[in-house]
Amino acid sequence: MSNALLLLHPTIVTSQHEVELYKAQLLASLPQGSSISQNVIDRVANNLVSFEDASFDVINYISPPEAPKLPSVVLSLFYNALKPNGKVEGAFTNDAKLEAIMAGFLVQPDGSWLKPQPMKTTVLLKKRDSNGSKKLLPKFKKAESALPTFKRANSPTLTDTSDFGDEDSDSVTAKLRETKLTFLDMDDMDESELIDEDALVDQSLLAKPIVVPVKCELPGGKKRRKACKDCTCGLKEKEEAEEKEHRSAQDILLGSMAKSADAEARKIEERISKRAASKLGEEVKFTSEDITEIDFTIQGKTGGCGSCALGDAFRCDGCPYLGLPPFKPGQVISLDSFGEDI
Amino acid sequence: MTNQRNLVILFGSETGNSADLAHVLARKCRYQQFNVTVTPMNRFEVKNLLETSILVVICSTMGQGDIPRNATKFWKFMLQKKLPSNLLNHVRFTTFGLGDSSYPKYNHAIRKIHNRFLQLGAIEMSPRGESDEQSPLGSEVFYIEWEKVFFENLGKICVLFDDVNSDTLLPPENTFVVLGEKAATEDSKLVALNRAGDTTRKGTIVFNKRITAETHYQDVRQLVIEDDSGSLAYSPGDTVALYPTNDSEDVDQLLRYLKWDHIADNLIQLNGELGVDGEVVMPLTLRSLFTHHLDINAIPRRSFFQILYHFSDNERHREKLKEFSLVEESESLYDYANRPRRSIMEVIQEFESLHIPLEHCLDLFPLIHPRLFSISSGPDSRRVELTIAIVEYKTIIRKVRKGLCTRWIKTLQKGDQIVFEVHRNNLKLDSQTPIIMVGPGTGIAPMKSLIEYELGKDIPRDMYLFTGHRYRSQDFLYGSQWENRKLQLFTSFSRESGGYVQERLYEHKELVNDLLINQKAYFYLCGSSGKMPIQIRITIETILQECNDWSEDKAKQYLQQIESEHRYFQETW
Repeated sequence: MSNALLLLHPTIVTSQHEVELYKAQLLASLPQGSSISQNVIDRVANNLVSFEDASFDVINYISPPEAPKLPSVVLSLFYNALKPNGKVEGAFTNDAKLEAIMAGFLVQPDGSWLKPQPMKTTVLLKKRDSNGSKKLLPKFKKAESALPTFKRANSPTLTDTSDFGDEDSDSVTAKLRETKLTFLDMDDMDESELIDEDALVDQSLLAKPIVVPVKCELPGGKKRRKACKDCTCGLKEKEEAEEKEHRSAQDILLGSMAKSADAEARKIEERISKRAASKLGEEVKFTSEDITEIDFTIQGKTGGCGSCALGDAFRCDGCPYLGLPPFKPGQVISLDSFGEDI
Repeated sequence: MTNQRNLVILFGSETGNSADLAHVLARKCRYQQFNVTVTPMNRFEVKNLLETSILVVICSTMGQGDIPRNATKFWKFMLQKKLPSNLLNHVRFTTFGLGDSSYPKYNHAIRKIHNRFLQLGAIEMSPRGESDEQSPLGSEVFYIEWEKVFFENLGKICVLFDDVNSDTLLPPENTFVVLGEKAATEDSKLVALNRAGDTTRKGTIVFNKRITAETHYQDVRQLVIEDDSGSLAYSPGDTVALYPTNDSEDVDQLLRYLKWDHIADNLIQLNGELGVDGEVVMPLTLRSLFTHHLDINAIPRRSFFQILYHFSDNERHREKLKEFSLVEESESLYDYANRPRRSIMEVIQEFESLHIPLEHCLDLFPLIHPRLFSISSGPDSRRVELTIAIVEYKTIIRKVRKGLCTRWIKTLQKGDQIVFEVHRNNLKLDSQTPIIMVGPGTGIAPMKSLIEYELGKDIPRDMYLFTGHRYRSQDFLYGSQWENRKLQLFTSFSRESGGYVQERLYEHKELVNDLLINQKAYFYLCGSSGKMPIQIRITIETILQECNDWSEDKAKQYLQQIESEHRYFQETW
């Protein structure tokens, strides 16, 4: 009985028939009673789904031949999700092999990737090294000659060294990196010796041409209407005049609303005072919150295009409601959101 | 060894535009399954350059062609002569600059950065891009084009996926845990003082007074802070960083609206760093996070909508929010958010279908940044004085727009404790030669500091102060203090006798010319950015031409020369 994960490239998912076919094929290759979970590779790559560690025996990845190589983060996700001796199957190209090895897999003759059984040697090492030295690695090498028994117990497989695999071959690079690191230090800055930054502005030093827009145009042929700071061309004045005009339109609109709200409030007050008179001793008071609320909706004011009620983001240019909050028929809106100058 | 899936995006940003594009790009790269580090240059550990195989720098340029403040430390590191020419030969890089061609040195920062990376051996993996804010169709088109080419070239060195679906939500980058334990409810003013590190100073407000007439349109404050340790050290030209907090009612309202109020006072633990200047406050709760660190009143940017749109299940809302996240649709975002100065809080409440998952809040909300103000007092070890114009104005939205920091400053009372920090700018202003100071509006602040410093000397240098205000009776900042002092004052009151500082300069062209040419005077300009500094520069060029019978080129050259001699200073905002 196995637990398998079927991962699909998004282009495969479009055909339900194909998906079923792959599923059936996979199921046939597994022992009786095995179960399959299915997911799209994007969701895995974007961390939208996560798997428990060591939960699958097989991961089967179905992709079209032109699909890009899987990033290494995904490979390590695979590695973690697989049980020891579990494997990844799929139509992988040759250059994916290297990354598979880097991720810790053993590439099998049939092209699948095997997650090897974990080595138990690390536990032994720690036990032996009881004198508190942190440098496990060099210690381990010395120990090889001193204690041959350890050597046998420890002889690691190729994949087991994946974490520090490149170290030896890259010793030159390592040295260069070390040298570079001595310069990459903010605390060791030499502020007295700085190059002249003005000399850096020279365009001729910037050999390659810069990217300039091919088409200097916003999509949809939109015009730019933004006034500069300290505008002198008149656009700013125009904008200001528009805004002023708009505010006075708002005043009229709000005025008529407030009037109707006022009438409404008076009616309520009357009702309450009548009620209060009949039920003596029972105090009825408007809270300050009640008073700042008015019924925003007056008959027939939902707006011609139906978008005005949704708020400024949906209102047209010149809509009289611009600058006012969104509203719904029958909804009571707090005047607080208009601020102090109503 | 180096993981090809690691990508570093560094930015240098003054107003936040570069930061926004950096985050937009970072998100696209994350969808391509890159592990992206995106950070202001100053916050990047330079030793991590060793592990960096692909690097992108997005940077704007300051007024004088300089590197933005949140990149200066990194830049100094890069400029060291001792760095070997193959230091970065393992790095493939490209750059994008944000510029504005109304400034003579626009995009100089990115050119310098690009050149320096080349000098240090880094390999250009994709061409540089430069935008121009003055382009009639906006600067976004430059970015769109550059980004396209960048991904083409990235595809040549890394595997890219062409079937990326950006509608799937990426897991949050900055996460935290809400603990069961509640914080002892503390006054937010006390919380603001209690910071994890010790990069800030504590001070007490001793003076916070409006110094413009009540009838004047603008409220300008004289704010005096007394340092609790009495160990201040600053010079003229230095600035103070203040750490503003959000209005507590706003925070209450938002937490209630998002239905997080029941856990608002539980302690939270960050997984990783928040990356705030001045360290995080303690105790850290959702409430203190939203009060002191997350900017809920900022104008929302593209990168905000890039995340936000995932949280609406209403198709129309979702579509509209997504539209605002697209670089191609920057015009609709501008009209919706920037022009009316709409706040993040207002957007969230307007799109009522939104359900924001708590775990995404650190990625979604931008951080509150400290605000910098020029010091207006002469050097003193106990006190520091600032001159601050309160930001309040109206737009199409009914509610008055208020600056986050200045709204907070207005609430400060005598005796209140705050945290602050002095930023040393190391302006080499000190000299015995005369100085011409041009400081219209609150640009007077550093001039006042310098004047007080000079008057404390046995023999002050000759000082020529050009002020610019609207009315003598309303906003002539510190006006009465200039009389009877050993300085020559040239006032301009634009709404009275008319005229601006540049006109006053021109009226006294012989004097200005003599000071600059013969007496090797310093020239110090401070105030609002935009056209003012440009007009002043043109005026000086004209004066030099006319008084010396020079060509335009010669005048320009001379100005450049005195700039490189550090005799021409400009600080505009």
